[in-house]
Amino acid sequence: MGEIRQIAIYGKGGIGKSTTTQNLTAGLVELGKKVMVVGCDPKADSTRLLLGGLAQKTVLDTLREEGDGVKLERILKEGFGGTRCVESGGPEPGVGCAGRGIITAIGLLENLGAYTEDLDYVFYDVLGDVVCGGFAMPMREGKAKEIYIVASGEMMALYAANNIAKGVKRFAKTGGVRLGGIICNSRNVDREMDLLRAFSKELGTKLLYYVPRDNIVQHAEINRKTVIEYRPDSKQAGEYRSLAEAVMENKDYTIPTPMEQERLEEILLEFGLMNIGDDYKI
Amino acid sequence: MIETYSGIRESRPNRYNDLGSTGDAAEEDFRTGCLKKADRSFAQGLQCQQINSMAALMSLEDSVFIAHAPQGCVGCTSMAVDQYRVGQAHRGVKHSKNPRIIVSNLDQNNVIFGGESKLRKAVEEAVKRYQPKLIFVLASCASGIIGDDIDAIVKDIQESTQALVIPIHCEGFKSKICASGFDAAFISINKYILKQEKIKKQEGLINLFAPVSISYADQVEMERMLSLLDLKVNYIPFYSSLEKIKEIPSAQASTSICKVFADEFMKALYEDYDIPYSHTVMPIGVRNTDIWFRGIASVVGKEKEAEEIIQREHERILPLVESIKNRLKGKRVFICGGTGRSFAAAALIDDFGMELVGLETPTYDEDAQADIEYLNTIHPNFVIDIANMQPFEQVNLVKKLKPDVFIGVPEWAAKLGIPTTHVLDMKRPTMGYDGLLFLGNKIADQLENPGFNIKLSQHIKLPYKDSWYEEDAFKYIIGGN
Repeated sequence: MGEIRQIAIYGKGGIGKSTTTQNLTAGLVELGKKVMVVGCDPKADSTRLLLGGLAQKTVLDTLREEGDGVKLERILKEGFGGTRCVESGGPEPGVGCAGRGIITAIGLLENLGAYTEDLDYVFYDVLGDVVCGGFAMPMREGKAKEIYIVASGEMMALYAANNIAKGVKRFAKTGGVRLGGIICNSRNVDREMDLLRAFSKELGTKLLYYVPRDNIVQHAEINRKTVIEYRPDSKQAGEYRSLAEAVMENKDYTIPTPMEQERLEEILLEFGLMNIGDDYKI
Repeated sequence: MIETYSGIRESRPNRYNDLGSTGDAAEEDFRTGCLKKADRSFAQGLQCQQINSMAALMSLEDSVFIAHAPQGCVGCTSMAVDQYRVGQAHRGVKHSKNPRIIVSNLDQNNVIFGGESKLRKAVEEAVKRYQPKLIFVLASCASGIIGDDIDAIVKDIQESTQALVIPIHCEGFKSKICASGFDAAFISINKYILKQEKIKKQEGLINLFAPVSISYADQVEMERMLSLLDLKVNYIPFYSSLEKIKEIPSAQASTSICKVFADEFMKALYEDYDIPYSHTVMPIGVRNTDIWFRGIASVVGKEKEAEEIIQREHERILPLVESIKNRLKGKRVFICGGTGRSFAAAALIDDFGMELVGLETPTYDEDAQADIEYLNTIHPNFVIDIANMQPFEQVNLVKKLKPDVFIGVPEWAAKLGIPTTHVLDMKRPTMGYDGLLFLGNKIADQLENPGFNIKLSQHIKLPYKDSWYEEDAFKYIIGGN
């Protein structure tokens, strides 16, 4: 049994981190891997598709209601294909400190022995941007060694990705964390794949996988399922299986080289807007 | 729109907290604009604003203090409790009370989910236990970082609470100048009690602002001096009450015993309630007492009367000062104290013909410059350490400068075997003409009876290596060149 591969998924809010992570997890589970998914978002919606709904009690809710004597089985639920699902949870919007919540929840999971030796993968699905120390918790010493950033060809997604890379670079020096690559969750933007490739290269990493856009993902979500569970024979299910394989076989880990704002905008201009008229329709 | 003061003293220009220099060089650098902000790469403890906000108001009648904080934040209130109890004893209170302090005890869960429920519970407890007229809610680092909206919570609580509930924004990380804690308390008093409402003026009423560190004897002396000008004193906020606080806007003028206490508040009172004020020096020593007295007298138009009184007081005091001078003349002094007090004490020693060799004080600013200009004309080449506490620098300097006597906060110097006299013990007289005599005699007695300090030094070793005393005391002050 090898070391547990601990992986954190970051990316702009709404880019599809949770959807991608859960479908990727489903792909890994199909290949016989043991996976734990830790949702690091106060909204606690990172494991909904694996569990078939938002039925789970979060770590922090449990801690608040039951005090320090929390038992692991109260917060760890089994989802699709034996996936272990945990949601850190957090405060109501606008109060308290969600970052501190993530730190506490991950600390508690460690204390309770959630990281068992039979696990092959642990995924941390982290909300939005790395806004404070709490949201950097999954990439600190002893946690995730691999980071994947979910992005698309839209400007703001790339701004966020570049910013997250700055966080990774910081922790690479002290904690040994590395960037494993960029996962494109396509928005069907012009020249998206070229742009993402160029962006990844500039960031000192690679475009690990390009997940095309397909409405079946939304259908599966409405049905509270991953695509792999909802339509196992669909083309999109195959894409997620390929993503799972790409992650499994990935060996390229780098310390990212985040860009200055000007350089980022140059790339965007080169691939995003040049030679294309303002003729797109909504 | 008028600029609103943030309550953070660093926001005022030309304030320096980290400097090691000499009186001459500091004066020159400040004057020429060459003084630069520096920092310390090593520091031993600073004061937090919460304790200053709390201590400033602690003796207000019928008040409760809720520290919205983890419990450790109120650990340092014990010093203020001691002051309060002694202050009551001196004022003849037979059944002295402890200040009423409740800590909301923010824990890990509260930091994550917000501390609102604990704060509400603390206010309920305060009402149930004490039925106070005033409840102060003091913010802390923890509540500030997580962004607990104490203003909104207090507003809501106020609707169903008879006592006046007042939030004070004294988060510890906001300022390195501890007097910012005083400002935070006064900003809240203005906002929640006085509310910019102008009331009928009372002829001859003076707001006399005093920090906790003023003894009852000093209060009596200040009140005596002002009564010589036919002025009545509203002594604020120490040993005051909600009713007296409400009278603040009716005063004819304001002055403060301490230079860095209520100076910002007095400005606000001038702007909001047209109350003129005198901001001069701390009345320690003949010269400074004269300046302080003339200051308030000129604001109320009684300059002539003041000169007559000063002359009478001099006739009474100066022969007595002379007799103390014989015991103290030529002795070398190191002074450490608050910004107002240490400069005042430095001026005081001139009355006794003593020589200043070192001065430690928390902040250098325009007011300090005026004092230094004066001190430089009397004392050549004294060392100046702009430091809030920082005992490691102080003991290093004291060992090197070898003063005959140490005046100020004596915790560390006393252990070096040097006779020490406290000017901040908050219990004995130091101010005004009468206080001067007491202080002078105290210094002389201490000098003539150094046995306690010598014995102490033989049995106690300060925690520094011998090699530290060989180093430059200002080694850890970085930048500013």
